[in-house]
Amino acid sequence: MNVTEETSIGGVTLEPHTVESMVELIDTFGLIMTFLNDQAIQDLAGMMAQILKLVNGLTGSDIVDLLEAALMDPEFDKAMIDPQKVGMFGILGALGDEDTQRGIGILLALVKALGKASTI
Amino acid sequence: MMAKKNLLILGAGAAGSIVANKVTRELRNEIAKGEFGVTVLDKSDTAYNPAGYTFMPFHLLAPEDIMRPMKKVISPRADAYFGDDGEVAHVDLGNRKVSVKSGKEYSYDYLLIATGARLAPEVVPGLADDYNTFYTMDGSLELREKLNTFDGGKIVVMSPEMPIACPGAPSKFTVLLDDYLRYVRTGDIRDKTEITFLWPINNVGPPVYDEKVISGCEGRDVDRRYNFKTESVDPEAKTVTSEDGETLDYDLLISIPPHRGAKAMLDSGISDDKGWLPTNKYTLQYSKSPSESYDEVYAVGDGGPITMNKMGINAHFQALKTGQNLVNDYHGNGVKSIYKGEQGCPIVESSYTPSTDGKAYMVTWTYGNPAKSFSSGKMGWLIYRMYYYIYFDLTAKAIM
Repeated sequence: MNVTEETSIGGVTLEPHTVESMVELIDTFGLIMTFLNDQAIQDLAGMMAQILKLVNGLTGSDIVDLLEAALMDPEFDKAMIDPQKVGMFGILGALGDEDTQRGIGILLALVKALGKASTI
Repeated sequence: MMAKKNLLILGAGAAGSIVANKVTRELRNEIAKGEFGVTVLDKSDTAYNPAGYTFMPFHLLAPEDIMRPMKKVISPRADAYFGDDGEVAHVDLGNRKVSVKSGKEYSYDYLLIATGARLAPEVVPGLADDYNTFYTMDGSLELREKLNTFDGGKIVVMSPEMPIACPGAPSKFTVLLDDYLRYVRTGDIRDKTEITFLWPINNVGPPVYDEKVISGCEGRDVDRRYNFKTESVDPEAKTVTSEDGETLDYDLLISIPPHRGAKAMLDSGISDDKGWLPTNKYTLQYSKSPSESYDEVYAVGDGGPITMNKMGINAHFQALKTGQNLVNDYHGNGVKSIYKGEQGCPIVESSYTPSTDGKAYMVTWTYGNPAKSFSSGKMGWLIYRMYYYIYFDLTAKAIM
């Protein structure tokens, strides 16, 4: 394709290279459309529905805010660079830390909620 | 701790579930702290998307595509009661109390009434004795069987009176029916069939919508009769008669029965004489008269005033804005999200068959902005089809 002249649509002037891009975009879309039928849409929608559940769960909960803050914790940054090697006694020692206790509290609440949800 | 406030939601159709899911999401922390509560009541423990019934007779949707257990749709953050504990019997707006069939009573600080419309075939004499409709799940499935074996004759698609839910559905159904008989049943079934479309007023939708309905009927050899107000049906003689005395005979009568508001609203004396609830058209707050207005009560969806169109898109927008207003009311921030009359109705101009692509478009308008001219297409059809499969996870969950 070699568009040589500018085009005007509704008073807006389009440069030749812009027209070329638009035509390519429309052709590509047309190609995709030939592969789409009712069955493809049903299958695609089934996948979308699962993703939407995830979107609902994540955006409808404070877990994202919590994760955002936790992922930016300087101590977590340090652990990413040089993770501590923690054994059984290390785990027992960490259980005395209040932040760790709260973290476990959140995880246990999630475990309980998962169990409850499995009965719905 | 501050005193706990309660939102009570009557009905968990599209509007009720959207409000429940939006408000519980926005006020999740207040719910977790015991400062706010949402209770949902519905007689059914199954959620349906009735807009899909139109497609089922033509094998384009299956029942499981348009139904879910209510517990999978309503957020677990809400307290939900179904069956006799959820079937509304009486609403006392003055004392802020609602009683249900089981005798249980619920009080509220805020009330959302989303009890929808009910079908009333008994309003037209004789109709209940030859009642084939695609406006119910069972009726739609029975029609599927009848159309599977229909071997020619006169089919009459009849809507006796307005308002009805989804007023574009009967003309949409007629297009799907024509294409089904023509291209799916094949042979000479369509040649042996006469299709008549009876409509009680002089338009189906806005002018740009109606143009397509009229040209569609002409192109498909469908006998379109506007202003045909069916007065009675004679199931023995298989005839329908209009208020003007015109009589038509049929072999298969497919009807969209008259609609009424929920009986409990009528019995509670809070509706008009057909069960429709009076509201402010912008705020959707209950307003029967200056002395009988309740700012803490909202009514949305098909159960609203007779003057408001009863379509899923209306319910969707009304519910999202009302959900926001309930959150605003709780916070006391004085902000009011105005319903501008956002509404719309999909039009179908061709079905998906071995010989044709589906063609559709979503026509929308508001109180002040009329519907604009449009062209239906394959993409419109595919998006429309996709909507049914993601309705419960997108619309009902108030994501969009």
